[in-house]
Amino acid sequence: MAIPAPEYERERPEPVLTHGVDPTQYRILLRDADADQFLDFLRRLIKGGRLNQFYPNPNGLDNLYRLMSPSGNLGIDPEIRINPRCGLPSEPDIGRVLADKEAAPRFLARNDTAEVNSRTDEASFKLHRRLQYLRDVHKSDLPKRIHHELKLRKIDLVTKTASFYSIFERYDPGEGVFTRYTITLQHQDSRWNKAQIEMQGDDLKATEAFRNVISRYHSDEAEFAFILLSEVPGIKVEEVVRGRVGPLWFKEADTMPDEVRQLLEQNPGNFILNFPLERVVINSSAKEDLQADPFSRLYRNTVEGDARQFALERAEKLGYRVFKERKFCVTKAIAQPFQQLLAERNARCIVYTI
Amino acid sequence: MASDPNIAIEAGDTLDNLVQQFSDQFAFLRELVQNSIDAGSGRVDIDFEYTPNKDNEKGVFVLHINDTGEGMTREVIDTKLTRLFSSSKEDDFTKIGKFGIGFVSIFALKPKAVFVDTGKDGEYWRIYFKEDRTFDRLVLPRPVEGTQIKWIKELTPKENENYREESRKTLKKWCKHAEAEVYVDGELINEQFDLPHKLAVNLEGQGTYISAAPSGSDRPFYGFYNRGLTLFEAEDVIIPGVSFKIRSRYLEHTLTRDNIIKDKNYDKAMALLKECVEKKLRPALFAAAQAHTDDETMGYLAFHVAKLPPELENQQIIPTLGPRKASIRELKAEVKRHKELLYEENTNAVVQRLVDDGRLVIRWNPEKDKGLGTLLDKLKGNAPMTRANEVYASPTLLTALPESQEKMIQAAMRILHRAGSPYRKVVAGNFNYPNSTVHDRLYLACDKPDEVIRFDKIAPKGIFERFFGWNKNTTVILNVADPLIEPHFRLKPEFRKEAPYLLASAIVSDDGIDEKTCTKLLEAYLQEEDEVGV
Repeated sequence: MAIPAPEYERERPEPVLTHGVDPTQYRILLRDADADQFLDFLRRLIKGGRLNQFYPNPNGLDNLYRLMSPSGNLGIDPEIRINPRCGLPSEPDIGRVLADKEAAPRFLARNDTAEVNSRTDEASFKLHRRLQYLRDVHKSDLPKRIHHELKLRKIDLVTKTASFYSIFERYDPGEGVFTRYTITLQHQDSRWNKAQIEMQGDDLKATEAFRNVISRYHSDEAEFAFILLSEVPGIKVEEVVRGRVGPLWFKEADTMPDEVRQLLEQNPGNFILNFPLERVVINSSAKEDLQADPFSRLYRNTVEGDARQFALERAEKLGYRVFKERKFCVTKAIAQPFQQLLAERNARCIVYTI
Repeated sequence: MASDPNIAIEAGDTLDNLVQQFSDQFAFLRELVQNSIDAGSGRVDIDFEYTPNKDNEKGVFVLHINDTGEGMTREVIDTKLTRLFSSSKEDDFTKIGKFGIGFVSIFALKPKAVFVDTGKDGEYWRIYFKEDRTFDRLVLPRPVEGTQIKWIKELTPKENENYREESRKTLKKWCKHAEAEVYVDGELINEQFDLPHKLAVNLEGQGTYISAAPSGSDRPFYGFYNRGLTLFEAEDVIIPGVSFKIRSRYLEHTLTRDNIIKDKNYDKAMALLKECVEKKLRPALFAAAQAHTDDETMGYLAFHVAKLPPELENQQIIPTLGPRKASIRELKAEVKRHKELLYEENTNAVVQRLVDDGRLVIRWNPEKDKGLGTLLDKLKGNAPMTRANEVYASPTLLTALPESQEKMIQAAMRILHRAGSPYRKVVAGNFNYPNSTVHDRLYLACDKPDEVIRFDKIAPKGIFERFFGWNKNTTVILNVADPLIEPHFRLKPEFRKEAPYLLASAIVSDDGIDEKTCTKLLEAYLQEEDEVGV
């Protein structure tokens, strides 16, 4: 029986124009100082969120948004488009910086020469600016569209069992946010199981089959990934954690709960950055699941009928617990009313302010 | 807050010893930062707070240590945090802590109270440790992210200053390269891990990161770290000529935290270090030496020339006065063939002719290029270093002398012949070429006057034997510009008859005139006069 992907309700309010019109889906277009200001807020919100290792690397995101800003790219690209559904910079703008990262070594090797740098004509100044920007891109840690890493924890030579973390970070173009999955796994090598990982010294290398499984199953909720990964022979999943950076809510963004929209309309110029975290774990001492995220539902509650029954059975069989939480970093002026809104929802969330 | 009081920390008699387990009482800060990193926190904030007391000499000092790690559930608090030797991190390559005893060091400085607020999976707790180390576990009504510790002690204002200073020093020492950002009173204390050296290289793999750089010190710096936390730093020779920092999951503190455990995992880390030096640092040094002649780099190379692979041995790195740099293989071949190594600071006629003849002449100034000197010392073995101009000469042969001068020289040569000299030929030469070391010599004897002349190997030692004894050389090149020779060509006509004799005497005088020589010359002159009529 196929396991259904969760469904979301998509709100589609009338587009709100700010500084320009983009004929594509990214209606919100920011230029020069406006783009700088927006990205500066975003970077401060990410830093203010005090992210731990279960979230995408905040330093990589900080570099990404710094280099995306017109002041960061020295005016080479003065515009950014905002994905109105998640309130974050659009995929093409992210892709632009990530593509520059890939191209930088070749471009610098060819053009960053004493001869080029000594040129004084008008056209070369533009090239010098590009070189300066690419040098910065080249030395900066940036997130990757997809990154998979295995970290060995322990090896038990007697049982031929390796415990490790599988860390999978990706840019989810559907939701428009960076996501990190941290999965605690055990892999047992036996004649009955096809090896999913290979030992190289004390390093682990995922087989292609395993990499395929990981990238296919890491596309949605932690619980969904947990169930699917538990089906892989030879693998025992102990924990799946999914941390996300986004969405960013502000007055002009499209998708957010109604009461939040109301709040932001009353407080224009303010931002709320979401940091949802889901943890699915076996052997938990908790007696029941925890739904402490006021803006999402448990996976099992998003599906209905047979699918729901199936999901409930898997949960029972695998014996896991789901913990859903969400923290926020918000601009100071909206902190108090937002805290109040959370309290009204009986949500005990961490809210940081900048 | 709901309370679950009067639970004693389970420790038995070992607790007192473990509380004082570190020689530095502030080292508990390192243990707490370590726990934060192991909990996955990307940032640790350490802040100081002091409230003076008007009625009391001592105010209240509060040390805050906050992280955003995964926090603790009640189960973890009861079975790990408050239980000695019950670490869940043992044998886990991804954790720094191992023994489950670090936390109790918070009692080393006898705090009045310690509050640990933490939470996970929707349960939030405060653990209140009292002065006697017993604790209460209380339920917190508000959510807490990660773990937030308040360490409280009564201190005088002066002690407060001292505690701040010592805390800062301790954190800087142990946490300056921590994986997590560490803020002390809002100030980021993290420093770049890579060694600040233009030739530093790094190697990453198997949970290990190495930064290695060449060092000219006889006691280079080195440091061992796990997830950026300092385990041990010192200055000594681990690999000669190399300073390094190694951050590795393989490295662990000893129980007393004053050194690292040298087990099979340490050997793995050291094998990676060796690989880093051999496969990255050494080639980088050779590449730098090939690209630029930098004396510092040459000095560094001296530590890295043993057991070279062919590709490095053939790399042209040694500065020469020839058209290109020489490889170590070429240098060794030169030493093997000539039993010496020639050097000069600058090129001149001698060097040029030696180079044309296929000799290797190193470009070296022994006073200035100490690094290259050390490298050459390592490469040449026992063979001597010889300054080319001190043993070789290259006078210009003068073929168009005035006839009278030519005649006078030939007459002098005949006198010398008659006196018994083995030389068959005398030619005029100019010894005043740039950087000449033979400009003050009267003559040079050689076999092939048109080639560069080795002049430091004249075998006979006695005065007579030098000029009249056995000599394989056949030709004398006369320095006609020498002040002892040149005036003979300007003798007034009334003295010209004796001029060849005087010239012959002058030539011989270079080796010192003795009675026997004088007599021989005079006899030869008189004989010449009789027969030829000079």
